[in-house]
Amino acid sequence: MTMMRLPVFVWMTLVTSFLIILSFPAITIALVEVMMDRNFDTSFFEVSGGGMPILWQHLFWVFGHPEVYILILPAMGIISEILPCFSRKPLYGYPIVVFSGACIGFLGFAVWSHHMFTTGMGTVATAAFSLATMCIAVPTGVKIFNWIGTIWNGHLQMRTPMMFALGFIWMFMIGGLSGVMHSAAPADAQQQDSYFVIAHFHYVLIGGSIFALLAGIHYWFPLIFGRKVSEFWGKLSFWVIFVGFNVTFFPMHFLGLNGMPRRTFTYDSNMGWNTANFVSTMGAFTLGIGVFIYFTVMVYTYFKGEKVGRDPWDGRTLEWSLPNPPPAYNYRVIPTIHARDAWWYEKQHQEEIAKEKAELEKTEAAHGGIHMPFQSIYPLLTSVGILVGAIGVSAIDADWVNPGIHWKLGVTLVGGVIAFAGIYLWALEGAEGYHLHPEGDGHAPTAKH
Amino acid sequence: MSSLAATIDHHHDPSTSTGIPNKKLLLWAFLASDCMFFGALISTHLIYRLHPPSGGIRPLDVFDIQLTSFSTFILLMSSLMMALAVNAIQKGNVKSCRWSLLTTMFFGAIFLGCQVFEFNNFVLEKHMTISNSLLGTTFFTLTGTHGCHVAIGVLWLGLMYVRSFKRADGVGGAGPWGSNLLHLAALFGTFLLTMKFVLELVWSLQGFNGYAMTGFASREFVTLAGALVGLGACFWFARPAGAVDFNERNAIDVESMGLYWHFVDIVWIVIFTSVYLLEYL
Repeated sequence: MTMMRLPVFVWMTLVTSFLIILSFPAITIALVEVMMDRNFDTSFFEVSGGGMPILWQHLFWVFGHPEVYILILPAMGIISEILPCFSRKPLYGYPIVVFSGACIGFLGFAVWSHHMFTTGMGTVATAAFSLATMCIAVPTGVKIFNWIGTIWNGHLQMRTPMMFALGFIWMFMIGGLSGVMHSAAPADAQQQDSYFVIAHFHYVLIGGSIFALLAGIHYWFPLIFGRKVSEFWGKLSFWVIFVGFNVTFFPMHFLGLNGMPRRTFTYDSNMGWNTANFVSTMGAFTLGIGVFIYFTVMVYTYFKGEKVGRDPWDGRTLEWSLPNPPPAYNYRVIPTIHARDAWWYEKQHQEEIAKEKAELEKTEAAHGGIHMPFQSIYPLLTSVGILVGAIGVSAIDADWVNPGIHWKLGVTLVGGVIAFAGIYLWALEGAEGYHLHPEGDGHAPTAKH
Repeated sequence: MSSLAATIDHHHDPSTSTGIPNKKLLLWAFLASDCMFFGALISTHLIYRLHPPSGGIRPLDVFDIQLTSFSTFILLMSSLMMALAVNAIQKGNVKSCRWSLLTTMFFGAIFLGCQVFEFNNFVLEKHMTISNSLLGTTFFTLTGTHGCHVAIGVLWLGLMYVRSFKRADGVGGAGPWGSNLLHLAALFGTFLLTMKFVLELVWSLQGFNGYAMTGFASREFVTLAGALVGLGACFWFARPAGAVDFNERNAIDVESMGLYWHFVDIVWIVIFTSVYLLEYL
């Protein structure tokens, strides 16, 4: 295994993890400061005490902009897994796709102020953030070209996950293009706080992230539950969602450019916005019906769907090499990765792989079999403690005069003590675990000690 | 011990693809996150330093650079003791590791005591509270958050110290609920009571806020007695009792804790420079 043989979804999850680790502290501090203001009478954002509310905006968007990449990068990873599978081709330009993802992760920290062009940051800051925002469109565009390259000349199999994935490319591209429009600060001054922005971020978040998630659920459903969603109902839900989504959000581009402000629940009937809003409303109902069909079919499939065996899509990555449903220990022998499309390679070189597996099996048996962790109760105890503490912190009313505060502190402390005890006992338990020695490919372990 | 020394490589873990042990990688990831955490708080302080409200409290009227320099020095020395603890356990020297852990805790507790004294002094003598000025708002939030990190570090050190007495044969005490928790309680009881005693002694000597030397002895007799009993209990729990399940293999645990401790120290160097020293330029 090497890093450059990781599935793209794993790569994008890695980049996302970095974004999460580095951007969430900013919102934590912003929330701590606002909590101090509300509960302890400080003046971080309190103008009368010398505080500056603009600081809140900066802290929020230092988190908030990386957050949109936290939402879209795993989606891009899912798409990069699904497209090659149903195009019967390897991913086009794998290193470039990976590098673009990492590049988006870096640049994602340098563009937050493009949410604040109209707050009067000064020309230098505005120009710099405008430029950085235009730069971040480049790796994103590169990825779209790579996906097009992947399906180019492929033997496309129009299964439901593929439909959602293709829908993703198109919808995300529309959202990306209106995003480039915002990056020009003068244009953004017109679009700020209008329905144009609503249209933009729904195209990237629903047409982008949500479409990719719907594609991914369809794609991995057989692996997780051993049953496959019917193609007819899957495709029907795709078309209803696709049409409903576009009818809802496309008119908002025009509404926004015609001046309809966001976050305003009503408007004058003589503004000329009525028809478009009516169309939008109808689209929203359609979208709702589509999502309803999608999940109803999922629930039905979970109980009554067609059962499938191993590798129903004739896939290319290793998760499809597992028996269906996958055993608790996943891989009986840790596989050696010979190629990016590792499972595809294994299917093409069965003799070589069989020999190699037999060898590895002997070595692993000599090492004592498959190592499994303790089936410990303490992680549960720890999380119950955190739950109780969180209920104490957030859900119990604190009245500084009445007994409310005692309840609040009491429940919080009890939760804290339970969580601490859970962690403490968990640590004392150690990490020894136990070993399994499964026979053949089956699920039932034959020996346990 | 020496046979183990040949088998454990403390600088490379062949079982992970990066060569970094998973525990250490986890700590590095957490510290990266904590960098942004303190980064946001320090930025807030510095931004309001550049845009002070008119008529606000001036830092030079409040700060006591001698005391803070002293506590900074103590915290830096605690980092030295932490490094010695890691070094000792990597060589399998459990006894030396324990003493270094205790000294690190002791220095950490002195730092915390100085902070309690400083906060008290700022609020009651200098009349800077968290809500009456923007300086108080940013100062107390920032240094208080750092103080919480030091306190968690002292707690962690104490847990590790008590952990080092886990017996290899598994007998003795009443399992995790018994001797371990009692040992912890004795350790932290001693620390807290000693801290209280020393602080009130200082306040009494200064005649601060109604404290006076007269009556000090009777008031603090119980605290002192409690601290001494706790100290005795700590010695009793630390009596030699057979082989322990704590050796070179636990070096990674001590080292990960050391990463946290050094990080909290480095953050304090940044805070000391940007919050205190900057005002004296």
